[in-house]
Amino acid sequence: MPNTCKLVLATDSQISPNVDIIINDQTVDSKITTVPDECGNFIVSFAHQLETKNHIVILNNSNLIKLEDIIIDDIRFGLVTFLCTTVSNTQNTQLNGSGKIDIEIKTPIWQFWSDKMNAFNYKDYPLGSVS
Amino acid sequence: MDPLVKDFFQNTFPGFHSDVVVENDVLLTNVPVVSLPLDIDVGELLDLVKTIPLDFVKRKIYPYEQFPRIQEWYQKALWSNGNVSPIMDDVYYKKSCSPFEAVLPDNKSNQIKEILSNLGISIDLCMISVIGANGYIRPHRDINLIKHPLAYFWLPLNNPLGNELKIYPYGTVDVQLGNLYLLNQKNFVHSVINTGNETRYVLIGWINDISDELQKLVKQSIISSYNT
Repeated sequence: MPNTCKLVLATDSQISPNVDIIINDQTVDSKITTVPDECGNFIVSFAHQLETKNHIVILNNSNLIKLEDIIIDDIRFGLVTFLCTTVSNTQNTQLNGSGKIDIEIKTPIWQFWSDKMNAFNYKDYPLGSVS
Repeated sequence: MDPLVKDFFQNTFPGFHSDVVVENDVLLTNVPVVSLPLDIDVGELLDLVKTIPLDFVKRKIYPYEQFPRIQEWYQKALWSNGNVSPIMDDVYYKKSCSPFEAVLPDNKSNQIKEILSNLGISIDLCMISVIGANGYIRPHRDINLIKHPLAYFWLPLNNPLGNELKIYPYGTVDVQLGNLYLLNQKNFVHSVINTGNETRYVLIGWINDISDELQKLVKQSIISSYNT
């Protein structure tokens, strides 16, 4: 577990350049892509020294975005983990009215990832149907 | 090596300590793994399997991936009834992938099928899975819509030094050659690694049904291994 983690947030639409990334109450510098990658996602990337418990906030008032993925030091969390980390209301896949996404991440990352992956239950997810 | 694989195998797991309810339909029981001492002649199976050509498992590599998610993994479908969709194609919309295509067993596969059938197992899809030297499959869950979480078997045919199957939070599976393992791959993160120089051979498959006698053995194994 490195002290400084590289974090990548993949979204379904372009984020305005004035998006704020705040980790543990500290604003961090980030790079934002303007063209989608091979997965069709736009990327917000930054590096930060993580604590045991970390609160990441994405603030962006200009447009709605859907967070598709969180990648930490090459560990791709995928949609499953995104659902686990951000499901909090009916608008959970987009910025809500306040223009804010909250993400909780704990370290060590491998254990956090494993716990989240085990806990995820697709049957509880409100969209879609089994049939 | 993929950093998640490295961390997964270097760290000690807390163990699986949850209280378990043994279901009447025992394959519905939600435990990480069940070991069944069946005294299977794995040498005979290994001799057969080693004569069958394998396919290298290919996977698309995305630009952000610095390390491959799988390495030195080969497999071969021995037979398939064409009715198993082993993973979700789209978790968001709860769509299964297409069922694995139907494959008729050839003579060698029929011999393997008969050996497994004599153990009391009816199998919808059976595959050879091989991990070569320095190979691994990254930690993952095979999220699917298959009703029974224990309807997946893992049968090691050899156990070379450096091979490990690890399940979170359970830990490393204590491999006893001749045992059959029911692996709850849909609900528990798991991974395999081969840090040695010798190839690991395993039979894997999706179970259609098991005999009453085997159901009793599964129940006994769960009761003796977990807090029930």
